[in-house]
Amino acid sequence: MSKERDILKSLLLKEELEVLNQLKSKLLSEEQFTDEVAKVLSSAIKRSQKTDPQLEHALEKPIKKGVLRAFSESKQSIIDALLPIMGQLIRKTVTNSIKQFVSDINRAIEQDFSIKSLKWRWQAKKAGITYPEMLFQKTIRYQVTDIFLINKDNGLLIEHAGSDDLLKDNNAISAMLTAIQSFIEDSFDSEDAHLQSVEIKNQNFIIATGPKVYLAAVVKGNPTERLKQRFQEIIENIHAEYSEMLLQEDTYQNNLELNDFLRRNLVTKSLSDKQKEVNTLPWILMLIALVTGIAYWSYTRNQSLKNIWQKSSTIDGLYVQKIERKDGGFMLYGLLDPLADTSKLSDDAVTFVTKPYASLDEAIVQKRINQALSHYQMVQSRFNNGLLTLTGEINHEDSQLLLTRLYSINGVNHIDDGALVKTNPPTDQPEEDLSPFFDQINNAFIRIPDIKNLALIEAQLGFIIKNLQLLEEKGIKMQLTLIGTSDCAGLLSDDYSLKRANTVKELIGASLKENGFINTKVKKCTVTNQTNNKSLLGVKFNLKGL
Amino acid sequence: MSVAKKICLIGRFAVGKTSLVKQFIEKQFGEKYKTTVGVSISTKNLTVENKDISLVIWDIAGFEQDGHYAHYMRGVHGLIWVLDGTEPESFKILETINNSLPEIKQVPSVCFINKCDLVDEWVIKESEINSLKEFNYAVYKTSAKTGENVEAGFTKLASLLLSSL
Ligand SMILES: Nc1nc2c(ncn2[C@@H]2O[C@H](COP(=O)(O)OP(=O)(O)OP(=O)(O)O)[C@@H](O)[C@H]2O)c(=O)[nH]1
Ligand SMILES: [Mg+2]
Repeated sequence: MSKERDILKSLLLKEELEVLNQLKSKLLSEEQFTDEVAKVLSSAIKRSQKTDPQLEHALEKPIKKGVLRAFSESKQSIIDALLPIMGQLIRKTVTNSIKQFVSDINRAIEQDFSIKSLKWRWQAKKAGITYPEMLFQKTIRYQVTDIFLINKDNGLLIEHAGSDDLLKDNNAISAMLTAIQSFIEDSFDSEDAHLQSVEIKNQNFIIATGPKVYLAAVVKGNPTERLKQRFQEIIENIHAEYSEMLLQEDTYQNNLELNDFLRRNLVTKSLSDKQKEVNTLPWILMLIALVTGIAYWSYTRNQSLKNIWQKSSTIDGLYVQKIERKDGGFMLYGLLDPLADTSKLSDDAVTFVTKPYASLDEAIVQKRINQALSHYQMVQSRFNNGLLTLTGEINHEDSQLLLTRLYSINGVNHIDDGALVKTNPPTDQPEEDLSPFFDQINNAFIRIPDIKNLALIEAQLGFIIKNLQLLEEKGIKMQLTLIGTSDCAGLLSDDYSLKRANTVKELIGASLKENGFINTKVKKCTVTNQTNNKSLLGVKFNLKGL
Repeated sequence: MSVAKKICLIGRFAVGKTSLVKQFIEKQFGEKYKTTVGVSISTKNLTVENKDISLVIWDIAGFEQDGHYAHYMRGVHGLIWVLDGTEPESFKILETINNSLPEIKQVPSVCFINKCDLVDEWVIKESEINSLKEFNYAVYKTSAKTGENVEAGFTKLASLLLSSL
C-alpha cells in the first residue's frame, strides 16, 4: 500500500520534491546558509532599521563590547588611526581659544583711552608697530643692572657698568661666560652656536654677540624680545664706534668712554616708571581717603570740643578758663557758682575742675533772690540790671530782715521796695504745742538696777535727750528736776537715790548745750522696807516750761 | 687697575691641575678626585715686582676630546703644562697639543711636574725633564699636596706675562 503511494507521490510531486530537497540542503549546510544570509545581511539591516526600532537597541551592547575590546587589544592602531584627526582637533581648539584670548585682550586694550594710552598710540604709529606691541614694550617690567663687555676670544673683561659688588669677581664672570660660550661652540661644533641667555649665581644674563666682543647684561624681571634686539643693536654700535679699542687689552677696564656708553644703557628706572603710573593710583586714593579720614576725625574732634565751649558759655554761673580732652571725655577748668545749672553738659562726659564763686550772672542773682524770698510767699520780685523791685506785702518786722539779706546779695545794687506793703505783725501768733514733749519726759521712769551699768541707763535715756535737745533748740526756757527713787530697803537708800539722779544728770547734760536748768533731788524714804525691789530703783522726771 | 691675563692649565686627566689651582688660591688640598667637566675658572690677584696682575685661570678638563682645547685656549696669555711624575702617559701631552695648535708655541709657558711628594714613584727621567725645558721658560717639580713650588710656579708665569707687556 505504501509502496504504491510513494510511486504516486513521486509521479505527482516529483519536481516539487526536488526543489524541497534542494532547499533543505541549502538551509542545513551552515556554510551555504551563511553565504545566503551574507547576501542579504546589509539590505536586511537597512530595512529593519527602518521598520524595527528594536534593532539599534539589540545591536548597542554587542557593538559597545566589540569596540571596547578592539580598543584594549589594538591600542596602537587605534591611536594611529585617530591621531591625524585628534591632532587637528586639538590644534583647532587651541588656536580657537588663543584667537579668542588674543582678541579679548586686544579689545580690552583698544578700549583703553587714557591720556597715557593715547600717547603710546601715537608713539606706536610713529614707530610703525601695533599699539598692543607698544603697550607690551611700555608695560613689561625689567631692569638691566649690569652690562659686561667681554673679549670674545679670551674672555677678558673689557668694561663693566653697574653695581660693582653684585657678582664680586667680574673677571671670573666674564671668563665663565666665555667658557660657556666656548663649551657650546665646542658641543655644537659650530661658531654660530651662540649662548643667548644663562643664569650664573642666580643672575640672569642676556648675551648679545658681535664679531670681536660680546655683551652680557644682567636682567631682572621679564626681558622682552625687544630688549634682546636692543642689546644686539648696542653690540653692533660698539663694533662700529669703538672697533679699534676693543682688542687693545692694555686699555681694558680703563676705558672711560666705553664705560660711559655702557652705563647709559643700564635700565634701572623702567620698573619704577611703570610702577608709578600704574600702582600709585590706589596709593593716592588711599592717601586721599586717609587724609579725608584724618581731617574728618579732627573735624569731629574739634566740633565736639567747640560744642562743649558753646554749651558751657551759655551756662550762667559758670566761668570757663579752659577745656581739655582727657580719656575720651573733657576736663573743664574754671569757676562755678553753686547755684549754676550744669545739666546741659551732663551728656558730654565733662569733669568739672572748678572753684566755687559767687556769680553776678543775672540768672544766678535771680536764683539767690528767689532763695531769700522763699520764706515770704506774699512778696514778688523783679530783677533787672542790678535793680530789684519788690511788690506784694510783708510783715513789718520781717521787712527789715529781708532787705538786709537782699542787699547782701552780690549783684543786687539797688532795691525798690516802694510798692511793698508792710503789715503789722499779728498779735497772737499761734504757739506751737510742745506739751507732748514735756508729757513724754514727765511720764518717763528710768530704771537703774545697777548704777555701774551706764549702758543700760543710756539706752533708756535716748528719747529724753532727743526731746530736750529739740526744746533747747526751739529756745524754750525750762527747768528739769531729776528725782532719784529707791525701794527703801536699806539705810542708805536715799544716798543711792541721789547718786542715781546725779548720774542721769551727768549723762543728759553731756548731750545738751547747757545743763544749768537741771537739778536733782531724792524721793526720801519714810519707812524702811524689809524686801528688796529693784524695779523701784531709778529716776523720775519733772520738766516745766518757764 | 691691575692688568688681567688669561692663563690655562693643560695636562692629562688626574695629573692634579685642579688641585694645583686650589693649592695656589686656597692653600688647601683634597685627596678625593673629582674630574673637571669642561673648564673651571678662578681668579687670583698678585703683585709681582711691584706690579699688579690679575690672573684669570682656566683649568681645562684633562679628558682628551678632539681639539676641545682649541676653544678654551683662544686668546690665552700664558700656559701651565701639568705633568704627573708618576704617570708616563701624561708626558705626551706637550707634543700632541703643540702639534695640533702650533701657534701656542709663542705663548709664555711653564711646566709643572706634579706629585713630587710621591717622588719615589716617579717614572720620569732627568733627560726628559731637560727636554721639557726646551719648550718652556721654566720647569717646576710641584706638589699640590704639600704646596711645594706651586706659588713659585704661578708667580714665575705671572712675571713672564708682566715682562712681555
Ligand atoms: N699625592 C698627590 N696627589 C695629588 C697631587 N695633585 C693631585 N693629586 C690627586 O690626584 C687626583 C686628581 O687631581 P685633580 O686635581 O682632580 O686632577 P685634574 O688634573 O684636575 O683632573 P681632571 O680635572 O680630570 O683633568 C686627586 O685625587 C688628587 O688628590 C699631588 O701633588 N700629590
Ligand atoms: Mg680638574
